[in-house]
Amino acid sequence: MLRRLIGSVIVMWAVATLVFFMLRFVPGDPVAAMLADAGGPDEIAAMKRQLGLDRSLFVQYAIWFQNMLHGDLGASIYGSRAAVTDVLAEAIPRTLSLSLLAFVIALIIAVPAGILSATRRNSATDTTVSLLAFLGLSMPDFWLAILLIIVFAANLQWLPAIGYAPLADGLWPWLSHLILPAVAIGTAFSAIIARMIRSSLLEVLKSDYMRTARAKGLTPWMIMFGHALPNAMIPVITVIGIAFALLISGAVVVENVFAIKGLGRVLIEGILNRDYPVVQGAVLVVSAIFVFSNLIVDLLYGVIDPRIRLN
Amino acid sequence: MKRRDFLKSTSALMGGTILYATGIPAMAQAEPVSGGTLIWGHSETTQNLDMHQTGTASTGRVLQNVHDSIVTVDKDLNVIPNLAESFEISADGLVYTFKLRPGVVFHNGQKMTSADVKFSFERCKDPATGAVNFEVFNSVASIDTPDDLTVVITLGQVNAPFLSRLAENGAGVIMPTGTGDVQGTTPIGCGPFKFVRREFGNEVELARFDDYWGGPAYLDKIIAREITEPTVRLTGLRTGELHMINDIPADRIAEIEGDDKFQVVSWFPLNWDFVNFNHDFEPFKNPKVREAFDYMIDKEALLEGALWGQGAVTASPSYPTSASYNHDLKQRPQDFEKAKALLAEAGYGEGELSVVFKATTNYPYHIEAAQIMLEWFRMAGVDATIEQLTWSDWLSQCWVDKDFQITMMNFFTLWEPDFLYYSLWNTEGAFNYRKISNAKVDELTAKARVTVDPQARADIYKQVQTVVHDETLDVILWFRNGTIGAQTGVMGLDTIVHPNGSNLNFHKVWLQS
Repeated sequence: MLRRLIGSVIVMWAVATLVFFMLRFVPGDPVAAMLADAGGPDEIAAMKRQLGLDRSLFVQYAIWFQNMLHGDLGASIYGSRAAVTDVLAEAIPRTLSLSLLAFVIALIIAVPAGILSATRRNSATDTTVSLLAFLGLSMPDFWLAILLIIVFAANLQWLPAIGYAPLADGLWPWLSHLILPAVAIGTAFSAIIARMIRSSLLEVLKSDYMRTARAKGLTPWMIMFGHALPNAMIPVITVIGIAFALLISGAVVVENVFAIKGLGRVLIEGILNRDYPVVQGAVLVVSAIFVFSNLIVDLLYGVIDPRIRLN
Repeated sequence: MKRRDFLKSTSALMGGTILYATGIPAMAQAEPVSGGTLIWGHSETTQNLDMHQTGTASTGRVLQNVHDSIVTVDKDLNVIPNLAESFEISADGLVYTFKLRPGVVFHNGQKMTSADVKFSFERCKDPATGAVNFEVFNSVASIDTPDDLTVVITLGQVNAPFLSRLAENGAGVIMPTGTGDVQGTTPIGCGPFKFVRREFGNEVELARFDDYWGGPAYLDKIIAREITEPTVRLTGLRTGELHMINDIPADRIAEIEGDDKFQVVSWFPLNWDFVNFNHDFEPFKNPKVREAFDYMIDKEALLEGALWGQGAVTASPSYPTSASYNHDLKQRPQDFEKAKALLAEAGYGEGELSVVFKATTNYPYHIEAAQIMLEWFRMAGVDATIEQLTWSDWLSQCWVDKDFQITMMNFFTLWEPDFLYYSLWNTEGAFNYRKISNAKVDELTAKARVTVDPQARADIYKQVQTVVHDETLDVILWFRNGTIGAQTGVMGLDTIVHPNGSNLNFHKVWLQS
């Protein structure tokens, strides 16, 4: 367990370092972007000195790394020196709310669909589920997002199309702003999980202990939920862990369509404006989400199947 | 009459005025009511909120409601009193005396006195502040405050544009003494709305300031949500989540106009565009080559193709109604034979010249314009390619490093000609990113600074325009219209556009209950 944790921290350090240097090798100039049409070359040089961007790359890295260890991710260059930690603190709850809701929606669709198509293999239901899964997988999330906006926001006016409301404003305002973007992201995710559940279940249903279970007279319901599903979930959880990446990358695109200032938009705007500290901070958070979601998946193995215990 | 023709025929007459408005119901008759929160879909993100340090149109557009300047301009661009009740200029043009309006209160409760004016102007002048417009005060020798409501500014040498530069918030804004450190994050002024909060890159909230010297505004609050994606802004307007949006994409205006749930307010001009040559790039050192490129561009067709006709072509970047606008200049027509002949004279035969056009995706119509121009360049035998740059890349490559061959850009429609011509075309100009060095322009722009007589000054700027045009230092294309789309319940939109065409003033805007 400790080894895993240390490994995770090393991965995050490597990602942060890589991003730090890659950003600086990309052409573009954060100070030019900030001063826009307001400053001549003299102002730009002065501002660079003030921000320490005129110092050597390794000195900049050392300063950034040292501050990061103290929980200081620096200040946005483009956004009037707002602390990166504040920018991220505003953005993280939005992206996490969105991703978790997308995750829940995906499971609500995927689990019944996967079970149905596995138990009624080669039936019309199975074919329909498979077809829908392919459709969901091949539909770009931003395109689905636009369709959802046209139908549910613009025409029916049931749900809002832009922005985010914090949970403090009430459950419905929060939820209503997240439903459409969560469905847009969750659809492709549910298709992946449904396909995985189906194939994994088919595998399990063929095994000997299934026959034993039926032979001792268990109801189909108990066979499915007591024996088949838990055993089928191991590979599914692995996929979920990896596919969590899909949720975050989906959020990057979909947040733009729904004008939600989450991690995705922070990241995109940071990259476009060459706002180094913001991009570094955001990437650090995203990599942390990846690393820890995979860690959680590893821990879940042990819970579901005691034979796999981390040592 | 087609709208385009209408625009053309009126273009010479109008300046910063409402061009047309559709779907506005009986605006004049309705009695304004107070209250309500207006949600505005703002096309750009605000940056540094310190009015002295910010130069971007996006931030100025919002801060227009928080700040007031010592003087301002009317719709004909005459300088008129504002926070100063009256002003006087001595006969030698060196002493400016301002009588301040009594009873002006800042958002922090402080009463405005001459000390605040002195503080603000000295802060702007101080190099340590990093003010964008510090050079306005370069010629100031002293600022005296004989009493609480009198400010006397003495110049060391004549600076003709001084007063009109104070009509912009950038240099003329009055901030309460001692608030320099907080202006960047929580601006404090004496405008009709108080700054409440800003979530960077997401939204700005303003609230009505009840003690505003010009009478309280109608709206309780304004929330400016920063939505840079034009289609998302349009969606927000359609779903009713936004009361109004600025900058409707040109190709979607007709759609919004055609819908009776919305009103469209359009004005002229918002800004102007020009094609730039790098004067350090060998072929463009020859004026014949630059002229040849001018002959390749059909400005009317380009305006129609890239902007759907939402603007009017011009050979002069001077504000359309200003005295310095040179009406004698005519844009060169498209003439490929002439272009080829000029290129041949300069020593470039068919296919012997190749150029890269750098255009920024920050202005999608620049990309479209560049693509159209590229075809024309090819038709004239020039091998041309386009390079699309993000905004920060454009700024860093073209603006800072001056590393380009040909590009295009737009600028605010500046009514103050010194700001416009000196900054952009003087060898020393802060905005001379094309490495232009023209002795005639340098001489004229310097002379205008010390010429007090308005007519004589305007004539000098007309000569500058003639040089820019005759030697094709750049190719001036057009003035672009500004647009606002709004729900029909948003009233008073005829008062919202500041004469500079870019800033929006919500003082007289109200919401029908």
